[in-house]
Amino acid sequence: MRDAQPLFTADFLPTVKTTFVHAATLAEMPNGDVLAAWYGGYDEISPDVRIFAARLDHATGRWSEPRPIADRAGTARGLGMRIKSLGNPVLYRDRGGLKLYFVAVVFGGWGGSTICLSSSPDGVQWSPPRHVQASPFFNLGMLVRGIPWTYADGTTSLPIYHEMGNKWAGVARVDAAGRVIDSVRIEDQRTLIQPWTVATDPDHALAFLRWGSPTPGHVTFAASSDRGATWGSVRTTSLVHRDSAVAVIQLDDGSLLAIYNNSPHTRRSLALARTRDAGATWTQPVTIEDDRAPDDNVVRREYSYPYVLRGSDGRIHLVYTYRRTAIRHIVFNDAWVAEAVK
Amino acid sequence: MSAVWGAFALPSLTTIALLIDLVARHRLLPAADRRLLLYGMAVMSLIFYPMAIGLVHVDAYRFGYTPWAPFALAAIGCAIPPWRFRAAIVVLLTLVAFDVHLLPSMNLFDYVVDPFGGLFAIGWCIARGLRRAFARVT
Repeated sequence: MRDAQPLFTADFLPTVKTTFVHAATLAEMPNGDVLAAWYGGYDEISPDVRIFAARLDHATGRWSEPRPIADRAGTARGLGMRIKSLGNPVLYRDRGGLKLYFVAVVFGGWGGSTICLSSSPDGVQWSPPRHVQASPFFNLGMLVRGIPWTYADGTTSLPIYHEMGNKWAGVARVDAAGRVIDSVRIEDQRTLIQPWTVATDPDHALAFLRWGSPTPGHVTFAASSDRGATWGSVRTTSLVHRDSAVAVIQLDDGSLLAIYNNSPHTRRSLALARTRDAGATWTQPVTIEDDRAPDDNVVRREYSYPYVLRGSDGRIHLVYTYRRTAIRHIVFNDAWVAEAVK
Repeated sequence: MSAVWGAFALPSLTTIALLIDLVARHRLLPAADRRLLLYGMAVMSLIFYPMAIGLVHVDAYRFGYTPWAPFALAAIGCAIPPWRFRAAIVVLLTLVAFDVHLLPSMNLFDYVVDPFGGLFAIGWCIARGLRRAFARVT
């Protein structure tokens, strides 16, 4: 039963005792609960980073206490190698159960990363992490961030990107055992990473890309008309941003809603914009975060890394990094978007 | 298998064959067959790894996922002269290993070449080239 009345609520995910949190992800459980995961620690790529998870009880609307579901030591044991830190998690529930794809930094920065995979029947017990073989060159430089989706044959479309050497974005097709059975790049000469793909119908998909350059740019996108097997040339939207992640969800009326940092310089503004023509034109952005406070060298005033998921009840859950110290959770519905983002 | 190799990369069948030959004190592969495999790995490494890290905007690695890749490798195996049949056997074993999914990868190229073996093969080719050039000079 979908809400007919506009709905918009905001809260925070329960806090953990870390000075830093980032990159939240969501998956819906079979009973309608929502599982959220994010990574936290002292800072990015610090050795104490762990991936935490909390579960939203759909009946009570309350989050469970966060608990770590992956850490450096366990990942090192699972992979049989030294791990420096952990990064972006991506939760996904496919026909085989719950999966957690996440980034493990082997050496250096994000360029020295590899993709790991754990699975769970219930979101509580997780298998030891294992490699996802995604690159022939030491299987390094590969990361995940965007939401996966499932093909008709049950395999998973996993957005991936590469940060070792040159940066590029792509989509891997992963089988039930977590093995990559195909991989395609979204070719472009520009630095475009963190693809967020949306399957608009069984044959067509769009991939929205983060402008990965330190100079101001735009959200870009590419289209596929063969179930993601090949991607067309990358086009530029009117959505201005700079080196920040973007998330997109399809609404009931077929339009697409993008959540992105609407600023050519910072991540202080988080906005929604909507397209009714598959990315060609966009509505005026509607701001949901706009922080104009002066810099104080204490608070990292950014509202970033949106991750969006539609529940089976039709409600749209949005999570994003809030000042790098909390994860904001917003719930809204199509009726609210129809009124707010015209 | 990955733990044995060091987790960074899977050993390709070519590298495994060369290592077994090394352990057997080169009684399995004649020197010319060995050279053929090392040249092949060096060439493939020079083609694929720059593509893998995005230095070249072509993704030949993807071909290794296609059903055509084993046919292409079989054609290469058939092109090996009969007197280098042991190198051809290594190619055949590579195809068999791929067919039974001996390694976690589903990409044929990971069975043919790996970064450690490829970098060694490139180094070996350079060293051999320098040795021959030096021998000509002197």
